[in-house]
Amino acid sequence: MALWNKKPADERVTTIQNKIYREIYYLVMLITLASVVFKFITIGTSLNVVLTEVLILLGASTYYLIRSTSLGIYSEEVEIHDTNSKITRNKKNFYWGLAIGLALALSFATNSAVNYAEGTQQAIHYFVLVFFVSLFIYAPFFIMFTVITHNAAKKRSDQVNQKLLDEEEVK
Amino acid sequence: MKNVRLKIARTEHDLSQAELAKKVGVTRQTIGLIEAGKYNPTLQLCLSICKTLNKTLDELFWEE
Repeated sequence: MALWNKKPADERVTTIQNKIYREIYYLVMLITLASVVFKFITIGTSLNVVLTEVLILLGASTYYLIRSTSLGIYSEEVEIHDTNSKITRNKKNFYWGLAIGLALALSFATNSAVNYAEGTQQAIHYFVLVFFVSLFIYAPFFIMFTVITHNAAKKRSDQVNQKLLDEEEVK
Repeated sequence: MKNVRLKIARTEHDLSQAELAKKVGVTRQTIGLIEAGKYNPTLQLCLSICKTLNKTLDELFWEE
């Protein structure tokens, strides 16, 4: 199921090319992340400043998720991961959601304490208040987002695999 | 491990690496690397080579 028709190519060359493309993907992601960090340090922590980088990171990740799900390899990746790891992919996604929520809550709380408070006591008060409010808003949202996305992708991938197996049985 | 049987079968058919490569749709280097034992071809390519050289998979690729 290729996106476009290709001429038959040497399998060894194709494998090596794919290996290089894989390396390029990681390289691009690394450069994009470095660019985000650099811009945050030099220009400021505004989303407008890093919009292109965010689009690249999210776009590539979303594309991979959609393609791996539609080709049925997502559930196999999860299976391999769960076989080799003590923590299941589902639990890992839960922890990732929690970590993102925590990181956001911390950054908002720090921002409020530093920029809007007058005096140490008010800074602590703002920090605690904003931290817990942000945590209660963002942590459940990101946990739900990561867990639901994962489960939906796995379910779809399982369906694709089942369909492929059913087709083989019919033949 | 070198694949001497492939090389013998190829020369029996009076084919160069490049000619065999062209018949099975790969590059000369790939055939060279298979013969040198430095590349493991897929089953699809093994079958293609076997059909071209009128040999079975066992005759060309089974390790004794």
